Amino acid sequence: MKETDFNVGKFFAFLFLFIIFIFMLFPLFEQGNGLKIEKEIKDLRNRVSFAYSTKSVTDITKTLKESGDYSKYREIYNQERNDIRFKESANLENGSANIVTSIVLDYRGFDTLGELIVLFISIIGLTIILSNLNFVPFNPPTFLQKTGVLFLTPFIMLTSIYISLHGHLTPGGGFPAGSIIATLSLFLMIGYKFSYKLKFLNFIESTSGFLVFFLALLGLFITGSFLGNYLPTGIVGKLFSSYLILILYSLVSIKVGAELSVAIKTLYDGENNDR
Amino acid sequence: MIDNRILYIFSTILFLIGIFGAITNKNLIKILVSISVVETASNIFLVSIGYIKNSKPPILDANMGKISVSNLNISDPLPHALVLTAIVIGVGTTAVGIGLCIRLFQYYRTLNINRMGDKDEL
Repeated sequence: MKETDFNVGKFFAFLFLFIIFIFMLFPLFEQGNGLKIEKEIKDLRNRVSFAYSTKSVTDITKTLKESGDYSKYREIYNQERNDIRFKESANLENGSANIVTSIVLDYRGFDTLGELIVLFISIIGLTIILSNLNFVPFNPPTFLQKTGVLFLTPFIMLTSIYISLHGHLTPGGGFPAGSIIATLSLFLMIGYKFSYKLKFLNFIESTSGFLVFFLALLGLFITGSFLGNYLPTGIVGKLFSSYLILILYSLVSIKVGAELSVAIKTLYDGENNDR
Repeated sequence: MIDNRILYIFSTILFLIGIFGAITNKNLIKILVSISVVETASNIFLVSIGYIKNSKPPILDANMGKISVSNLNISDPLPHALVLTAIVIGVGTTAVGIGLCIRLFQYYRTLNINRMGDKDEL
């Protein structure tokens, strides 16, 4: 097929998407007929996350269950509560200073468990698709690549450890730290000629995944809910504060790092070159 | 009703750019890149839902000092947690897609989707 200056297919695709664009602008101008939120109190008080960010989920659910009337949540939200102070408040229901982490690993920890399973299944799919494939080996790394990798490796190692341990204090956590560990394994393969065995990586990954499930199941026996918080929470804002989140996030970072390293090794030199 | 209009329009345009690329490109790798652009657009839209005007990020640190219940000044943390899940699933699907691309390239010796399927003529 010869390429012409005026491409008919592209023109019609553009027209089609322009019509969709005009339709997608409609929600900007319509007001709707449903329940309206008053503009004066447009804050977290109208959202579900109010209970998460004030760390009072068990309290609120308890009072709602006792009264039996779930439409009165606004009154319960407006009650007086203690402030959460940095490095002062202790023994809250969740000790994480980063509220996103407390949602990801505590209140909605089941979601994260499903996420881990999805990642695991996708890496299984990748290794099945690429099995029995003979790769053309890459060119050996040049001097510049080798020196850069040798210079950068210790810093990357330090960063990954820092991010995985500070998941409950700063942005980041297990998944970014795992991807940084995978970068580190690629660097080790390029610069140090260090070759992993896939069996070794699989062992690390399965052990940490089993430990995550085991710690989550312990919550079922101790507190009565899956992934319940049974370790002491400590003072908000300190490094050793919410112990369960600290342990779970480091295990998640090891698991994700091993999984993505398997993916990188499979894409780099194939399954058959398992030296 | 949409609160954050600029980010809504931006994510809409990015979404449509991604779909345009996925429709019109012939190269499989370019189609994968377009699909990840669509993914990024939906993530931006989800994050923009959680934004509240003049609010701080939902992380308690020394500058913020305290989270007071009567005067909450942080953005909604729930969409951030959802986006974290979406990003990881996006990585998984992209990895599987790249694996399928490698397989198809090995079989057909081309990545152009118009030339796939008629292997005898090659």
